[in-house]
Amino acid sequence: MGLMTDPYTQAVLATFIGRFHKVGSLLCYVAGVAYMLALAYPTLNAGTYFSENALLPGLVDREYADSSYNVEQLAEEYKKVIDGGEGLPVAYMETKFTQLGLDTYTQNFSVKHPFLETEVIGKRRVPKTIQGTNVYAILRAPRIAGTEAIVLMVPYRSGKKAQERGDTHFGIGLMLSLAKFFQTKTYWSKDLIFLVVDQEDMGMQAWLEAYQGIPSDYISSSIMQGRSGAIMGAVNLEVGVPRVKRLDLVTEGINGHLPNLDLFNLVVRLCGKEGVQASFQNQVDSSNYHRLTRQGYEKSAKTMLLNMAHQATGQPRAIHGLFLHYHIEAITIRAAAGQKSGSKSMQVVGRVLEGVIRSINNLLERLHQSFFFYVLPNCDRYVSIGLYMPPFALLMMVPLLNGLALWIKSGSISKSLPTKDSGKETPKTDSEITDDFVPRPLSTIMPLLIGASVTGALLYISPEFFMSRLGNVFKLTPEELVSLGVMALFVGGAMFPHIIRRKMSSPSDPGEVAAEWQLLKSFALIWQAVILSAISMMNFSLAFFISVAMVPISAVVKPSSRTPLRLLNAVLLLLISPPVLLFLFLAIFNAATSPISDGGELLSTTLQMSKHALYRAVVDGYVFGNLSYGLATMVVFPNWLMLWLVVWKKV
Amino acid sequence: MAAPMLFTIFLGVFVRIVLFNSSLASWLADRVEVSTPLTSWKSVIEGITLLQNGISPYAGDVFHETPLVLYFFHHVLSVGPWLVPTVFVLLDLITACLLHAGAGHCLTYLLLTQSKENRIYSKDADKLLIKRSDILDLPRLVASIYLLNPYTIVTCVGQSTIVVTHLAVAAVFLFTTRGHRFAATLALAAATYQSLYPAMTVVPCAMHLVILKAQTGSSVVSYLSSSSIKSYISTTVMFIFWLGCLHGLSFLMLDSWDFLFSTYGCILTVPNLTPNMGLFWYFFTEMFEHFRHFFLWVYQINVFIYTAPLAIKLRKHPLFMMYIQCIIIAIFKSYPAFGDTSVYLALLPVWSHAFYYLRNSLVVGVMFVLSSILAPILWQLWIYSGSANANFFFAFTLVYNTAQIFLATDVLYAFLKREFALVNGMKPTDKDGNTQQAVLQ
Repeated sequence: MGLMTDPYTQAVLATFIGRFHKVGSLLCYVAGVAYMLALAYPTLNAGTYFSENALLPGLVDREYADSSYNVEQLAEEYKKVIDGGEGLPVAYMETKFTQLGLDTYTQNFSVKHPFLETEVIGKRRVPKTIQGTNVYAILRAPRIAGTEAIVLMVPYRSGKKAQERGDTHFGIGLMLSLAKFFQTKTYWSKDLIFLVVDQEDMGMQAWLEAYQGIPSDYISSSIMQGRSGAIMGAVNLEVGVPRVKRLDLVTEGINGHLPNLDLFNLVVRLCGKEGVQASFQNQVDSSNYHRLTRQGYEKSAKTMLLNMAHQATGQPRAIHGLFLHYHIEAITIRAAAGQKSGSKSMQVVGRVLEGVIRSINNLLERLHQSFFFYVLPNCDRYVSIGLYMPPFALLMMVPLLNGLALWIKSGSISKSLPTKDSGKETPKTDSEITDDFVPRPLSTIMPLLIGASVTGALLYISPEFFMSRLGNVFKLTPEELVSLGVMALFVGGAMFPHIIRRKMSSPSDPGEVAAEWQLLKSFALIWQAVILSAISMMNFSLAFFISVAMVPISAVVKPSSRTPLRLLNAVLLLLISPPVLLFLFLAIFNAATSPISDGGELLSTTLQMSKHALYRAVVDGYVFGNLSYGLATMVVFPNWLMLWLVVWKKV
Repeated sequence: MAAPMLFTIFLGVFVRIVLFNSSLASWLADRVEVSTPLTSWKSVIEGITLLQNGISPYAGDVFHETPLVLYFFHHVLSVGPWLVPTVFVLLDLITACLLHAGAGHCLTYLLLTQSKENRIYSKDADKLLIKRSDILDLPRLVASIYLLNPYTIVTCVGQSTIVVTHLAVAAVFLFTTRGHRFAATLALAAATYQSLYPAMTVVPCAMHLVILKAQTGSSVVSYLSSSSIKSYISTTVMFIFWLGCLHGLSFLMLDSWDFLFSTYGCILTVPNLTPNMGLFWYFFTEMFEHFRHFFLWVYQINVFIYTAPLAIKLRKHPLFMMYIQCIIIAIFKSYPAFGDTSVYLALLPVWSHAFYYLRNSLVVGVMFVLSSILAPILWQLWIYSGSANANFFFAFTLVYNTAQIFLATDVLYAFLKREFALVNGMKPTDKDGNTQQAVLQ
């Protein structure tokens, strides 16, 4: 208790913070970022292992052989059907599944836009909905009464969508072939559900909600005719090529949820057994030795950063991501095309899937051991929460140290002498300690903090409240409407300091003025540390990237009496405002990953992407329960606004 | 009451009504941080339903509310479901009024004592004295904090029946400061009847009554004189009498003593280990069954044991002791929730004359905010997403309770330091005029 009660120790600590917080925060920031990047180096992270022994992947004897279940023929046949028709070939899929002797069902659904209820086509207004039909078939487990299930799904894609996201017809072929093979086996203790998903994630969400009986405001679907038990695991298959070079695994789900690391390990291990290369973030692992070299490290770091970037978006990277929302472990397996020689046939992919599904079939309880919070620099190395939290904590030290220093300053300013403490030599002599208790101007700060939070909440509800009414006035596409509207309201929010300026009577004493902005900034910084830690628990990567950008700038901005300096501060702060951050992150992501080299083109692509991302964030918040927009407006934006208020404070 | 006070009341009621009409109300009612097995509105509904069907509400293992409150809400519900939120808001309002009055009387008493002892005070301790204006300002602040404290608001909107206990505790504080033995013991009995732990406040209550009596007789306070002992006995007897009355009344209503095991049995033996903001559940889930009795005794004695040292150290300040006991109950009781903080956080400004010596206000504040934000998030991750686990949630209940412990020790130390400084001066010097350092032992 000495630290908590002894005034001497506290005074020493206070002077220490006051004197060294700048150097300390610089060190913490650099160390935090460097440490995080260094975690991709093999000696600093750990090798993956199986935590859940019940999976027993080694005991799974894989028997699937392509020759008798001709995948290619099925895939080509399906391809012909979808090229000829429009939409998911429901009847065809139903026939195929029924022929195999499975319980086959369909589910119709329609998704309406959350707030832009109508769309103008010509002169008529029609409700804008997306409609589709999912087809699914259930292989009833012979050994148990259908209390648990495993899902194997393939999204339906054709035409333009297939070109954008890759074909999936070999996935369908493989699924049908596997269904036929699994049908002959007696060892199933969980039902198998084969699912063809229409309309990508909309259809996935519709199916999940209907299957689990969750009422939805925006998705209506037909009654589910057939069900099985609780879903223990799900595998999403995206294969559009007959020959496979490697299998790419996709983990990132909605709101940054990740599947249990055991599931990921399982697929990697089985790929290894079958001799097909597994990759993560489309990065093929280098050899153990090579990883210790500089290029090898760079590759690992790139994989890890890509993983984090995808997690930070908060959007599911493939349709499996929606399962994670409901505590169902799921993963996507994507095939990368290969040449004739040196590549693997569908048989190998089928055997990997057989192994995965049979291992999940072995489970006695839900996957719960292993890790849920991790980032991966390689397929067989992981950085767990215990490893990545220390660098994050170092980053959080920056706002905390600065906030504490300002808190101490704001309370120890002796009246009319605001810059006295620089010449403090004997900190514990009397006058300094008594100066410690100048009442801090809490009452003038509180309204500002509350005002900032309320502005954030208004920004959050604005799309629904304002834009649904303006949509018909301005004749804009929903995407433009939402992004322009949010930007307009953001600018309005940024005017907050000017609106309240007249209302706030500023004190004449320079000491009090300084105390006011210091206290406000101190609160803003400490609040920043609190919210970023909170976000880090939900979506570590998002919190990390926001911290990397926000923390240093927030720590340095302050009001200035000279206009150029004040403007410089304002510009710096604008750089870390949520919309600009979105743009910057996307620009960096594009610059790093896309082949576009032309600067102007890059910017315009990024602008398009940001507009789209903003729109998606708003709409996904309603339909899928994506938290990104809520976090940005109700948590990050108010914090930014507090700092913005600091910059525009009169001094 | 002045206009700002009316505005505060209006704001407090407005926020509650808005929240009651939003979807947040039912969400809050289910939160473990807000309603415990003892206080949740759902179990009240369960009890009332059982009662209406002619089954003893205490026959099952769900209902732990006391019979009088059960009948009270039964009658409220029979008028109409719309009345329930109104009753909860009214209970909060009455509590705020009681706290307002209690704080006023407490400050008047403190000021009176101060003026009596003024001559022994050091000259440079002016900063530490209670000002006359405080008697008007601070009670308003107390009521405003009670009405606008987020913890209080979520407790009210979550319809946790802890608000009844708050009412009783606020009444104990008020009537003790007024010196009404009759009413104070009744309120104390009601608080004890509701949640058992406030029983320990009978000690400061009795002590304060002795002090008040000595003051009116303008004699020196002696805790061991025969008149004091008589006073203790009459306070205790009256308290037990009221407690007996309340239990007798409950017995007459139900015609069985089952409720004793369902209410106090549940508080003392902690059979329900649903996670909450307290320290019991995690420990008792992890423990081997044969240690259970031992640790139950340890944990329960722990709540009460502070009464003795506090009564010795704070023998001149029973009201402050009562305050510290409120914090201790909120930390160490078997089923705590956010709501337990509302009374003591509201009464905090009463001791603002000691705030000069507070050392950790920022740390405590940040810990409160951090734990209140992260606990629900980790609960979500643990229970719904399945990605976090019990340790994550428990870590933040620990932070929350550590914050309360820091607050209690900080206020206690500040109070004692002020006491010291009042007499010895804020900067005690030795003969040569050098600053001395006083060491608290």
